[in-house]
Amino acid sequence: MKNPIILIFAFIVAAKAQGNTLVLLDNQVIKETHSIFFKSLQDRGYTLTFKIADDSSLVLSKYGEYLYENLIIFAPSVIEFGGNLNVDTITQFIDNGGNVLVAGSESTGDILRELASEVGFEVDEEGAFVIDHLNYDSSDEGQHTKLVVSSENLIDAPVIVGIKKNIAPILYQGTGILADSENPLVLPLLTADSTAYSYQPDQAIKEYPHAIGKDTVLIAGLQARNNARIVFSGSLSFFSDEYFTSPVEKVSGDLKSAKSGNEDVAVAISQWVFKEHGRLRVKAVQHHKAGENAPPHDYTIMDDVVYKIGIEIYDNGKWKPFSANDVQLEFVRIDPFVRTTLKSNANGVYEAKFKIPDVYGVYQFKVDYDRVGFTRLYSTTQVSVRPLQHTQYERFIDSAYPYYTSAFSMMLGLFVFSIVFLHMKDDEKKSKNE
Amino acid sequence: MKMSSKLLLICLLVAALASLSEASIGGYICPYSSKKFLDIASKALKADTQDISSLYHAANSFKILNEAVPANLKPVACQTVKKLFNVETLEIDNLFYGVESFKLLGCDGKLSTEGVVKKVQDILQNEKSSVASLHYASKTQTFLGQQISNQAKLAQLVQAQLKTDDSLLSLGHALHLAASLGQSGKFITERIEDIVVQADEVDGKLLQWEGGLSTTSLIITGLLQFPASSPLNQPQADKLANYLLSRLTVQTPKGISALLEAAQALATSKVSPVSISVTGQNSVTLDNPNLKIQVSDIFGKPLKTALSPVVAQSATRIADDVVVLAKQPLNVGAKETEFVLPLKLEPGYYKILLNAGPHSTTLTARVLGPVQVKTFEIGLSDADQSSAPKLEKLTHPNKLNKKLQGDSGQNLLVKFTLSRQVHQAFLRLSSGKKEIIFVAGHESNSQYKVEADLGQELPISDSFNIELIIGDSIITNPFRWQVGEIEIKITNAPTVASLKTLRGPKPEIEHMFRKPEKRPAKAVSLLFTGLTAAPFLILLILWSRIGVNLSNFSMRAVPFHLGFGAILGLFTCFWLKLDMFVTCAWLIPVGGFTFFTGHRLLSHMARSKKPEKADK
Amino acid sequence: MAQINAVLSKFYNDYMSKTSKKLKVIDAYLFYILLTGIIQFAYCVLVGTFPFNSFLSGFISTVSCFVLGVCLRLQVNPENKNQFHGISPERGFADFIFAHAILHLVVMNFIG
Repeated sequence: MKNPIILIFAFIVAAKAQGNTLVLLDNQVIKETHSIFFKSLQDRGYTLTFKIADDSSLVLSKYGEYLYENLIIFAPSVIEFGGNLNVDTITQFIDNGGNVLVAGSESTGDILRELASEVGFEVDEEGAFVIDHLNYDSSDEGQHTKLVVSSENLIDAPVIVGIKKNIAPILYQGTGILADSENPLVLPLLTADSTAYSYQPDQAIKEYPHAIGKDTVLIAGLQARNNARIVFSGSLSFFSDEYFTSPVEKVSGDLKSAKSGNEDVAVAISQWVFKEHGRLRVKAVQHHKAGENAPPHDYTIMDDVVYKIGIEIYDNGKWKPFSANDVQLEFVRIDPFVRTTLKSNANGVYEAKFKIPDVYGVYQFKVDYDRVGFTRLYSTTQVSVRPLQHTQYERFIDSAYPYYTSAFSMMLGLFVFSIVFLHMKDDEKKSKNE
Repeated sequence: MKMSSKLLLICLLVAALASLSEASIGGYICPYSSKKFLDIASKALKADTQDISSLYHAANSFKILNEAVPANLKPVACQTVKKLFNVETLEIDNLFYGVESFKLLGCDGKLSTEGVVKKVQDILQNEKSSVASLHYASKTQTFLGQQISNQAKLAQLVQAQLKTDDSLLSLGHALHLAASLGQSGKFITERIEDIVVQADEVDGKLLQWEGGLSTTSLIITGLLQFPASSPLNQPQADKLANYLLSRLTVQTPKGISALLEAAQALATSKVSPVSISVTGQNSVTLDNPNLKIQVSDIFGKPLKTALSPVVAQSATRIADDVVVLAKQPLNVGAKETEFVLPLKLEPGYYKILLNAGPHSTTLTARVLGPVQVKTFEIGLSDADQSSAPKLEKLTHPNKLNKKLQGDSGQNLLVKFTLSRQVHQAFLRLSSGKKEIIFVAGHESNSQYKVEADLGQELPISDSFNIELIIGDSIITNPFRWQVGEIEIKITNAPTVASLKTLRGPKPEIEHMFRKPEKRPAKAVSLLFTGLTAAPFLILLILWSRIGVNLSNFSMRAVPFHLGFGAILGLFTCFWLKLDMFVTCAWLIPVGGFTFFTGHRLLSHMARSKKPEKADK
Repeated sequence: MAQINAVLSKFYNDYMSKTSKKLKVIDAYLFYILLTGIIQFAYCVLVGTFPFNSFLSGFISTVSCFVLGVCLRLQVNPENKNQFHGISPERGFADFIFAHAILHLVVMNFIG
């Protein structure tokens, strides 16, 4: 009787092994022209469900539960999503932790533009390409829109894009994105060179281009505060088999490669956006007084306290110890009283030893680790710090000896006096005489 | 590498610039793609696979491309085929692939085909066999040298199956099977139109059947086995060819084989698509004005019947719609398929209408030319126009020999003229990683101006590099010209820009504990300890001076004094180690005892006094 | 100046002759307490109030002892008999001892 139930449980657990992903396409041809990218996802265990973007049976959630963990939108020219998908439901999907990878192109529809602005990116108008007359590939068709982008223009975060110097030059053809530079969550994953600009190639420049120079973002990423990740690429052909397998040759000759770096970057970005990389979690938090093992009911001021936190990173389906040298611990009442860097050992356990301040109150051990490309790690443990008990103060102090002496002297004097006073015989005659 | 990129361009040119006419396609299977196909096929032959069909597809690809299977791959592949060929376990399609690949590879020896004949017969007799199985079975039988015994019966079987399963895949197999049945297979011709109608058009340029490349290829090759019924017209064939060309990056041996078979079928049919495209870049320069056009079939090979004449009907400049050429015949080029059109024209974009025999197409070509900076002036002017600006002239590519000095009340003024109009004329001010780019306004033809209000545009005081960027898609020499440097002082602005810090560790904080109070030296304390103890001695001395005595001492008093002493002793213990609760607990008996004895003593003393007083 | 000297010496002579021995014993005891208190206070002024509770405890102990001693002297002085109807000197002494017991308990607790 129990076995089928166990089997069902195992099945449910296994089914969630790697994410269910909904892939929206403009047409079926895209599935075949981007087969290498999709195959790389399926090889890593993702279950891809391919649908046309305006299919009327599209649903993201059923009975309040999401059917998919990730959403890929390779449908740049979609006018309206089918089923009950629209910008609001997709934004809700992100708010509930879903990850989204979107690819646009020069013919990006308004609905994708709206979706992009919800997450802080501005996509250029329809018909606009990123043009760079000094950095285009020799296979460009004439408008100088097929750009060769050096891997130096990738963001400095190996956890998102891989190690920059091992990546070959990248091919890109599509529209330009502007990312709000004041938004601290936006990550410009790939930017264009200083000579690039985003505009319609066959129209003379009459107004200031939407994006110009190094501000032109080609692939933009965002990690929301709930750790959901969104990547918006201005080029669908960036992910195509053609660009993955194509050689690269910049027309001015100084950037050449037998195979473009597109596949490496696309795979790395897909690993990041679907939370295979850069995913941290707290394994355990321990705190206790130095020399003990279990946490006390409350701490006393000026105690020596030891704080340990175990941090793990998700790697290839398993949680492994994470090692970094810049994790900090804050001991906060309302403002931090102590901030110290934790030392790590081999098992991903970080330790800090310090003396509790001499101010009592309710404190929190706060570890807030927020680095580019990693999920935000926030752990807070509340402890009370009490003042000294009346029996914990210093006694028998040297400089108080005179006072001790006086007290005892009083007692001794009293004792002696009581003896003398009770048993002294007075001179009665004398007193009578006076 | 340079050639291959350019060839790649040609291969994948699906009409971004070449719009399709109804009667030609804009690309072909170029040597670069063929080489890629052969690489993938070679890899499949080498691989230690369990899938016998991949070996067939790889070998088939070699055959269609007219290439011999490399000698070093043959033994490995043959061995794999022999290993995997098993009459009992394999399905009929894999059996077919097995025997075919054996032949294609030219393997030595023989495959054990004993049970095959029987299996084939079983399938052909079985009413429940699918159309695909029937197709493979009959092909296997033919391959083994046997005739199809009863063609009519087989045809009936097929028709019966199609009633229940008429998916496109089955129809495709049915087409092939019917073609081999001669007269009995004529039933399928009724369905041809129905099949063609089910094709999907994508973007108005591609035609495909649902099911992807293999299904589409199966149907194309099947339909073209019935040339008498003219299943496809030229536009349809062209669109199918475009679909095949869009799939040139297919990665699997099955896909490659399907693509090549379909392309071959089209190329050898009546409606062979004619490919008219530009060889190499679609741009020419003033020094090298020959535009090379290729007229060929889908494989890039010369057409069966050479088309002539090849004429450029018209060439129109796109910018202003002026016709610059008319009815110019093209010269014959180096190869049979190559034709040359000299374009001695002004730089710009041109639309060329080409006719090759009855087929026509429209191509876009660019004529490139250089651009020069004719005049260039740079200087500073006052924002409030109070004085005339002082401008310095420069010639490209020289630099300013001293730094300009500007402040927030001034404008940076740059005026220049170019030999032709360009798309991108930007002025870039950069300092370290920061840059500010201004778009040069276009005054009149080729006269450009940038006037930048330094107070408004620049956020901080710093020293900037000035650079002019000129670019366009029809100039041969886009450039960045380092013009010079400018030092700008902005009033009321921070001199160092606050760097936006990427998230990182925050500064450490160490709590400063309250300093403990100053304590006196031990010697001082000890001294005063002594001083405090001293008055007791003084007390004793005074008392002896007064003359104390203990004459009234009696034993009665001892318990009381002991008790009282015990209380004081208890208090001393309390100070040393006890706590209040214990002390009070002890105090009750001791204190009670002291009270009792003290009361007795004092009342005795009081009583013994009174009689004395009464006496007096 | 001369008058103060005369007053002081007369006071001293009267005191020495007229006061009974018992009272002189109490006075000596009081003097001793006074000295102890003054020395403590001088120490505190000199080095600061560091263990303030200890200082208070020690000082208050001397002050209270002095006060209790003065009360005892008043009660046992025969010249004040009329003011303490019904309270014999023994009773006064008993109260004295009782109060001291409580005093010293408190001092020991507070001295730290």
